[in-house]
Amino acid sequence: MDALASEYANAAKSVVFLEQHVDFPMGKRIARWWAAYNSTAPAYLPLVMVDSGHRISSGSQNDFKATYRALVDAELARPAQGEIEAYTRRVGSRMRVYARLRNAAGTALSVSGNDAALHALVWEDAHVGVTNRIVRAAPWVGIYPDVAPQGEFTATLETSDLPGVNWNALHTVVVADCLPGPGPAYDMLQGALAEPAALAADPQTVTLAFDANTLEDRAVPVRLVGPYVLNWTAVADVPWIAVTPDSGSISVQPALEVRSGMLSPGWQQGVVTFSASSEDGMSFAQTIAVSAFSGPRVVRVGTATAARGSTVSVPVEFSALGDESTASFSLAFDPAVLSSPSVSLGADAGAAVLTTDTSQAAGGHVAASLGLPAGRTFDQGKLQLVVVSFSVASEAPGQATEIIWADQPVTRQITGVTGGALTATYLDGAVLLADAPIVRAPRRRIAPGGR
Amino acid sequence: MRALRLSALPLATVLLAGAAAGQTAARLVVFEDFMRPT
Repeated sequence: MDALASEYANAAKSVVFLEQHVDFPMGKRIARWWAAYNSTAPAYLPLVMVDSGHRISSGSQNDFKATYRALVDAELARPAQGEIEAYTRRVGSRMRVYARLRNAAGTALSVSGNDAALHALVWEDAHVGVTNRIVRAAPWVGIYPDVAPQGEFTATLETSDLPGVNWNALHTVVVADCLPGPGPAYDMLQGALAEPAALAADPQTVTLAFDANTLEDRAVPVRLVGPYVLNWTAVADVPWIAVTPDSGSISVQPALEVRSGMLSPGWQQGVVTFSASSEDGMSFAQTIAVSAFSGPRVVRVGTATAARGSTVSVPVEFSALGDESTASFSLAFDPAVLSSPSVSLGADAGAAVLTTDTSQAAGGHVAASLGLPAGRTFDQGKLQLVVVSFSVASEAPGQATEIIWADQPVTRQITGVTGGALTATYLDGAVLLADAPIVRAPRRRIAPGGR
Repeated sequence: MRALRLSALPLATVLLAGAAAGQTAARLVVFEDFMRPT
């Protein structure tokens, strides 16, 4: 059994191997074996069961490992019929276990209807019997009242005193089982390894950027996880963060709301502290660090000077807040003055992939789209995204020609890492025609004496 | 009243967690062996 345990652990498969003394069994686990055996014929040791008796074996085997591996693999292939979240806590010389079960079986669970129960199998990694693990306690509770499909059941289980155990080597698996059908054998819905009781908050850090030109509040969902008996309260240390709701049971999930109108320009930091406690004496705290940046998100077409008959390069600059991952836009220009547009990546575009569309160049439109690899964002600050080059007509009239934002052939859009559209301010640019007739003020000759 | 927008990154985290919760979780198998040490 120890060899099999290592084999499954090395393969990262979720299998728990447990030994009990057949003459001093804990809880009502061995009754599950006898229920599945369902015979008055003598049974020979060892008595083995997988998943509360859904599969059993007994007696000597030609190849123990192969027989037991077949039992385990058949069970691994089945879907779970419940979800269990479990936590443990040492109270004196007892282990207290907090369990939450969600019923994903297609039927209601109840002690009266199908003898449904929740068991906490507490074992020690120690060579006491035959193997390197021994069950020290197996408290259980019948599921009552009925738990409908998709319903939840919570329970606190506690062992009797566990003298002489190495508490650092104690582990707990919580399992839910029931009689699934007319047959005598029980089946396990699901099992879950219990974790030391604690409060966890996800995410642990939040970084948000706000376009100062179009302020918009944000809500960041928070996931609080811990023993079902916990109740929590939240406090933010800055006025621009509100937590809604600001208290509740552990099953109530709050959101952090960032009030954009209360932000100062630039970076600012805040901390939200969640404090959780239970009536039976647990107390935990977790913090979420919030960083918020407020500044204008601006995309600007540059201004360049060019001689008629030459080429001109016009940069497109981006004041990025650092949460953007794509930028798409179209520029409109006077095709009588500018022609043959070509777009190249700018100096600060990083790993962005550039796609251009010059199909409407004759009509005075050019489009570009930049996309960063998944999960990446543009650096915060002023970036040169692309450079657009044009030929300048040799007979171009006027002193300047505008390059303005357009939404043809590509609609302007900036998106964040998850694809959500982000606001921005778009500023037009121009090409100044350098060899245009220069209008000078008439010279005045001033005679000595001011005449 | 200003519009309240769900933030991009953490929302993704929650959606992932939600998807995980909605799916059938992998089974944890418990193998129990009743023996008599000799």
